[in-house]
Amino acid sequence: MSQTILIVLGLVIISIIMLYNSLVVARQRVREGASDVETQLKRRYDLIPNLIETIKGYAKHEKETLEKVIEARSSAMNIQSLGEQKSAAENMLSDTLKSIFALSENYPKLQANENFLELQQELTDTENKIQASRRFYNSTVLALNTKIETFPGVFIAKIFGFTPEKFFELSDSERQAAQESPKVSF
Amino acid sequence: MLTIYDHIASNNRKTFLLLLLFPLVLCFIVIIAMVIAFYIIADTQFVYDYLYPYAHIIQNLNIEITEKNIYFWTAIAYVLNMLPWVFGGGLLWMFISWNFGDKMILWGAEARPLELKDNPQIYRLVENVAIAAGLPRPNLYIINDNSLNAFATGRNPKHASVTLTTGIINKLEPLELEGVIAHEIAHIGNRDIRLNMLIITGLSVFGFFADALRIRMRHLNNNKDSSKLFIIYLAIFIALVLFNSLIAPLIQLAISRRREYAADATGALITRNPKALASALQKISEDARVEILDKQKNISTACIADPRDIKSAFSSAFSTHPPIEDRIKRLLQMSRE
Repeated sequence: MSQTILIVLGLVIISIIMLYNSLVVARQRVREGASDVETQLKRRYDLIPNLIETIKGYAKHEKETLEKVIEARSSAMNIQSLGEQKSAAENMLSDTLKSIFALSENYPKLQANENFLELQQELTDTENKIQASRRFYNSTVLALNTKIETFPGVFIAKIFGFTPEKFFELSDSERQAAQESPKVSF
Repeated sequence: MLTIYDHIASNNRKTFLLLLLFPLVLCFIVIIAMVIAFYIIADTQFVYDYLYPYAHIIQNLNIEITEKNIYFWTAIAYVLNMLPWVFGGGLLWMFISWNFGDKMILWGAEARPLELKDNPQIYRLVENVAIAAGLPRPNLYIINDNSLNAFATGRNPKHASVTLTTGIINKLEPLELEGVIAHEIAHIGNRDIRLNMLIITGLSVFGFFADALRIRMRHLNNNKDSSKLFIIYLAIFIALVLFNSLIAPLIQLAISRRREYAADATGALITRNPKALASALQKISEDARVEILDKQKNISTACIADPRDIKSAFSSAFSTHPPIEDRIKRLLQMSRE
């Protein structure tokens, strides 16, 4: 009889270990995903000063708009962790960038500048990369939160202090518009 | 909800099982075939002579040979003797396929690499899908063909490539192409390619043995025992051919169909846009024929749609891809949730 108890106990302990480990792995994946997002966000921060310098030469009168960009950039950079605050700041930064590119339509010389064109392409690509890394991050968050909130992980999570993470939402108006427009009808 | 990691775990389990089962099944088949052959020959002296060179193996096992079990143990002794060759040959084969398989496939398909400067839009598209999948960026190749198709090769995400036809690049919208690329990257991430390559090489080892036997049968000397040897070889040969034509395709079919659905689902998870892949599949289904891939049966299983023509696809008795209408239906269901 005591043998069976030992076996059962052994199985329970092994299960706890396996569950704990899978929670640790899930949490690490979330961190990996977050670091990917931050890498892409940083890419954007690094491109912006160059953009500002290029524009200053051609569009001296747009000082206000340029300053808005600089401001939005530094407030986004100051928020460390991914969350509601960060996504609000990043959305703001995206909006200011959009208004700059809209403005540039009034300055044909600027539009012809190769540097400017390249930066525009790089920034568009960076937006796409930010969205891509965000999707991956959110999928890792979903996996972790699901493990934490479902049975039996929910016990291990409470005991060892695993907390659910927040999704990182960013407005993606271009992509949403493209998805919703009916391109093919079945 | 299955994540990419669950697919990997499931494929790893299948890979391990396959690696274990293939040589075991081969030995099993040979043993049964030999025992049947021995019964047909019905000459115990002959079998005893046949056993003689391998008798030491039986002695080490401390088995007592009687009239009843001599057939069985002779077959086993023979197989045990061949085992190092089977494993060695199989491992060598798999090593070659593992390391050079994707290069051979790309060379055979006349694919040329695509750099950032050749087509920045497509290059960046692939790069971004890889980011969304959490995988390293795969190498990108192009095939000159007007039809719409794509495939992925590579034994692991670090050594992977995605190949697109010029047709699919020109004829699909960016979001649809993104869905296709996500499907291919899903194959890479789920480790489907690795599983597929192992299956193909594992099965071809069976074919290799059948061929070797056929040659051996032709070169038998004309002495009194040659007819009996012939029966043995023939029995094994028939068993191998039966396996290769009946059971092996079923194994391949069962695995590859499920993997196609899984790649569709994982791809949709990566892009969060199953509708785009559905409409891409619709366009692809109208023109997926890529002639240069006709000779390469293994690659057709990794393509997004069967590149062979209808006749050959049916004549192989089983299609490697699930029907496109069903795939489209499943994707559209996902987008309604």
